[in-house]
Amino acid sequence: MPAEHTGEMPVKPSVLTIALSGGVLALIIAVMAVSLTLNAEARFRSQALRSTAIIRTLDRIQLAAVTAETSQRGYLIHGNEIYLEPFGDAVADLHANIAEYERLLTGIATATQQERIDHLKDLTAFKLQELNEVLNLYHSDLKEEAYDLFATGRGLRAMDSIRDVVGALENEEQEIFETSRAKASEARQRTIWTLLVLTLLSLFGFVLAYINHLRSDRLTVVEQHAAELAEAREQADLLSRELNHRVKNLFAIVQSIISATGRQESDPRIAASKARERVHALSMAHSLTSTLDAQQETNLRDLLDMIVRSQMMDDQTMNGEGPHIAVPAQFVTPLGMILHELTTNAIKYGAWSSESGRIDVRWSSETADDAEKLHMDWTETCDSQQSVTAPEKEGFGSRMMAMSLVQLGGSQVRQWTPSGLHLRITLPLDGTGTVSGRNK
Amino acid sequence: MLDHKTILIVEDEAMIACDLEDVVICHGGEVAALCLDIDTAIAEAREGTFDAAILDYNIGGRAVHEVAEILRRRGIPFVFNTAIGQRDDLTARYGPVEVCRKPVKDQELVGALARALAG
Repeated sequence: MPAEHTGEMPVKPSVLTIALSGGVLALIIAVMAVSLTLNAEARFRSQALRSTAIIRTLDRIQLAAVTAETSQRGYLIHGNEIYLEPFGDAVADLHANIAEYERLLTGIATATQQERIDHLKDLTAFKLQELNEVLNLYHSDLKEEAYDLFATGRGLRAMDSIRDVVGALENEEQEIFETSRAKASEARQRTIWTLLVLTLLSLFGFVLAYINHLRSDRLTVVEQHAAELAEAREQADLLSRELNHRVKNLFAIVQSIISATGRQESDPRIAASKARERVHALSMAHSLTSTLDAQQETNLRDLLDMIVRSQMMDDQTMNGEGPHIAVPAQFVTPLGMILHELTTNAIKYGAWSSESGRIDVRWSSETADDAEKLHMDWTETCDSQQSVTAPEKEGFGSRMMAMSLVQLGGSQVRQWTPSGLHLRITLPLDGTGTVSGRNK
Repeated sequence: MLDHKTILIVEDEAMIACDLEDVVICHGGEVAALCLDIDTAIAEAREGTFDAAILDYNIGGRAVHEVAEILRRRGIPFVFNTAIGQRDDLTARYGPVEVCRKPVKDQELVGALARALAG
């Protein structure tokens, strides 16, 4: 069993939806990348400020230590109190800056930094102690002892150690600063690449969408073309079937004309002539319609001209008067045959058997009880010297006329007057002035 | 050949109907009725008395099936005389039925009628 079709196509997301989702995704990624970069930049900036402050503080610590030492030595050399003036401020500065340094590094100090800070504090404490010891000895007038203590070089080594530790701390801070700068620059670089890739992807998406759009346009055109072709072929097939049917039907009618005429006439030459005339009338009538150019109907006046007037001699007359009455192709044969038989009879027995006879055909339509009818009066007038008589026996022509009238759903009233035949034919119309036949 | 059998003729083209009438008469048959439209044909098929029928397929744009169904129910034999080629459709619907293709020779049609009458 084949799977049943629900009749619904699976819903495919449109190209627009895909493009929009892709665009929104790209936008989100771009915003994230840019904000990450800005973050890294901000971190770098605050790190730069902090590092600058830290390095400046370290410089001040060293400067304060050097100032304190310089002041102490000046005093020792000159014995002048004026040299000791900066000493107190320098010591205070030293303490303040070490505190400031610790504050700046609170919470972010690395293990080595913490170790070095402690070391620095020990060293400065030791240095200050050494300075004060020497000064105290000097003040107590133990100048020799003070010089001896000074000469041990303890203070000098402590100062060197302070310089080393400050230098190491500055280097470390410088490294942290450089790392932060490298991170920011890396983030910036990464964002530039991300944006570049996103731009390329978007461009690619646009190109794809455009190509898809073009292709779907082309597909629509191709499908439309195929549908038109199929329709045209169907139309052609229909036409060909109709034409085939019509040709076969006409052959059957021609065959019937020949065999029926042949049976009626004992003289083969007369039979051949009559059959030829009937076939000719048939072909004339049908030349007014065509299956090919959809000319599916003709009209009563053209039929009269084609079948009746074409057999008129020079001095004879035919008047046709009436409104436009359409005759569909399917009724061209019976009506054409009726007109042909009437004309043949007029030539043989009636008005046109005389040189200047006249045939008047007048028709009109009438609607009564919702039924439209055509009344056609065929009136023959012979030359005044001549009078006509009704033919004695009703031939095949009359039978065929009667039968054709049955096919058309019509009726006739025949009346022979000395001047010729008067015939009234009544046919049903469809309400729009078109012969409808009895199968209305 | 038709041996005074009575035949119903259903044919919407007057000229051909005339000829069929002649063919039946010339071959020893009699025309029970001649119908040029489907309604008359259906009425004749229901009420008429005849031995066999000649049916054109397309009568004024309508298929002749209704007439054929009535005849089959009544057990009256019939032959198709048609310009439209659906012999297979007709045999599929009515079994082994005689189908003559227009234009048809007199002898062919009469032979088909005789076979239908004999069968």
